[in-house]
Amino acid sequence: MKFPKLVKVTRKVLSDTKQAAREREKNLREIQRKLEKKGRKLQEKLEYAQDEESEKSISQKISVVNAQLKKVAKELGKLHQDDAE
Amino acid sequence: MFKKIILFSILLTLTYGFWLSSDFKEISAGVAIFLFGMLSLEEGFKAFTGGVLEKLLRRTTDKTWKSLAFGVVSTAAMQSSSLVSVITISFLSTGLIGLTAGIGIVFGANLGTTTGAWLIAAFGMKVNLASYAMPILVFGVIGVLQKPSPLKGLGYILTGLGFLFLGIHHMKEGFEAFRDSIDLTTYAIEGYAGIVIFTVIGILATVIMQSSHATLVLIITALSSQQITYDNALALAIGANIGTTVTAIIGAMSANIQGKRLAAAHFLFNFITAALAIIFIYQIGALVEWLSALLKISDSNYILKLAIFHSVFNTLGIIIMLPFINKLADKLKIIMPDEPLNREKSLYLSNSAIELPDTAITAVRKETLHLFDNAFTVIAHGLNFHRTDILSDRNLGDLNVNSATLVPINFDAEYDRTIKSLYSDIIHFISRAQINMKPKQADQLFALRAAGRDIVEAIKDTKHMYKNLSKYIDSDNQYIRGEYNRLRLQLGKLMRELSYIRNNVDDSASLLSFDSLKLDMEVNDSTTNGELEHLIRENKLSAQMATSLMNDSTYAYSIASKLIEVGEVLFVESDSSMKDTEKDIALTDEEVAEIIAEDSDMNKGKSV
Repeated sequence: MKFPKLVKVTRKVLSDTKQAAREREKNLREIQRKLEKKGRKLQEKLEYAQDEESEKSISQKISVVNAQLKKVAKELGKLHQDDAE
Repeated sequence: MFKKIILFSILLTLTYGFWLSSDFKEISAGVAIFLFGMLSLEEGFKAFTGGVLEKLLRRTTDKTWKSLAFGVVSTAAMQSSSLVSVITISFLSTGLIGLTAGIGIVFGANLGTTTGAWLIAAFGMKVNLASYAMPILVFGVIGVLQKPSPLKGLGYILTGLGFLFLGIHHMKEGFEAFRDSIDLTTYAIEGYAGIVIFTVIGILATVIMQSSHATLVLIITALSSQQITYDNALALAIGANIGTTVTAIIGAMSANIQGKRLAAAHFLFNFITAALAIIFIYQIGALVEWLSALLKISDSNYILKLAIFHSVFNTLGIIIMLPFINKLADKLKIIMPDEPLNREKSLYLSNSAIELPDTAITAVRKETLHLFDNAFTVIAHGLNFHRTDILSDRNLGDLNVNSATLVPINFDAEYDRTIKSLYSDIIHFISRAQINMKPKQADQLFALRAAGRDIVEAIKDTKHMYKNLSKYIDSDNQYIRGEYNRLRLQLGKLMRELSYIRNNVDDSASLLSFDSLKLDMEVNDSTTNGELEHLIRENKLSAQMATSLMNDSTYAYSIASKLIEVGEVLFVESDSSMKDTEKDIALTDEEVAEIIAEDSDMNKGKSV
């Protein structure tokens, strides 16, 4: 492969990777926003829970949302770390 | 039988014609080669577009003018209104576009197809097309023999073009040679009688050849060889416009009611347009003369004038019919009402959808959802719930259950009636559709097939569970009664959550919504097992009861996990990059287990 073509291909690969990272960050932010909203709604529900069973069920759902949010934050952190490097 | 007689008569007439005249043989061969070229061209576009056309269609049908423009442009580009019609019918059948949009596309396709006459009239009659056909055919065949789909598609397109050129050349040669022996213009009929008779001939020729394009080329070549008069050529072109609707009507026979409505709209449009063109043929003729003078087309260039006439009367048809497009759609819905929802028959799997990978996937998804709905009812009855109870807000625990209130269900009969044939239709459709698919599309189809299998398995598990559930739900032993009641309540709640995720209009279904269901499932399973051990230790259950409960808790777990997996495949429709990100965030089995352990530790802490 000739040098100018090699540069062109490398540039394209790099820009594709960047675009994919940007898209992933956008998706992660969107998921984060939805999960935070869901978490807030569940917290409100928990305050008005009438029996122990529904309280337990809502608490479980909150735990799941929290675990998912943690994963989102971890993935976002990874993305920013890759950017810095 | 009737079809066979017609086919036999045509073959006999052709054979007699070939024996009688070698020129007729050449013209017929030209038509045959031209038709083969069109088939090849369609094949090429199907392979070459790789879903582009479908994506475009999905985006450009929100407004009538966009549907119309799509019909014009796509038909002009591909020179095949039948391919556009087939795609439109398949989109309508699978519910991807509405009837008004479909009608708009068909109107546009009618105008788009007139570009063919322009191309042939402008270039086809002046240039020696056969000299171009040969090299194009050679390049085309080399392309067809290649493996990569775009190259193969390009090969088919080139081969198609080559055959089209060759077909036109043979038709031209045949008519020119014909001129030396017979002068067909002696059969020309003047006045309205001639117009009506030649319109009928145009209809018949198009019905036989199944292509208005081929008829039009035949008309143009005959006109250029002065074998028919200009007036009769106009009438033949009008006839071709009506004849082409027969192809759409035949295509719609295998489609659902939406496809049939579209075929009816197509016929109405072409019939009304043709009727107007016949009534006002002399006025339209005058308009053509005026336009020809404006475009500096010579008085004797009847071929280009025919092309103008073809475009003008189709444009007039659109101008007249377009304001009534919504009324037409409403009227058709009244005249051809929706078929009553049939739980047993497939609703979306039409033959027209098979050729288009993305549409086929949508059709399978919708049909599998139909299967899921049928299974939902069977499983609900198997758990002694009414479907409406699960879909309501009522507390499922409040519903009193005993042998008197058991929902009567014959699993085998229900399975045969609402699941078996539908499931086998889906499998059969998938096996035919996957042939044209790329690996990524085939993966989607594979996931849908697995979802169908899971639905069937879930029903079978429910059937196994039902045997003991109906026995113990009314038992004198309160413990076994309580445990079975708990199992059915857990599954009932899961089904309610699933339908909530599916119908949640505020927030589109996300893969992440299923994580809390998985957690519930694991918690329920461990609670049931813990309770079972406790009851055995306390001698509250007989050995037979304990064994039954142990087996049935496994069935309940299996039903839950299968329904969740089905939901993940069927309910989530986000774009693929979002789906991929969600997959990465969704909790793994280990993470779910960690949450359960943490919650359990926390509860222990609270109780201490």
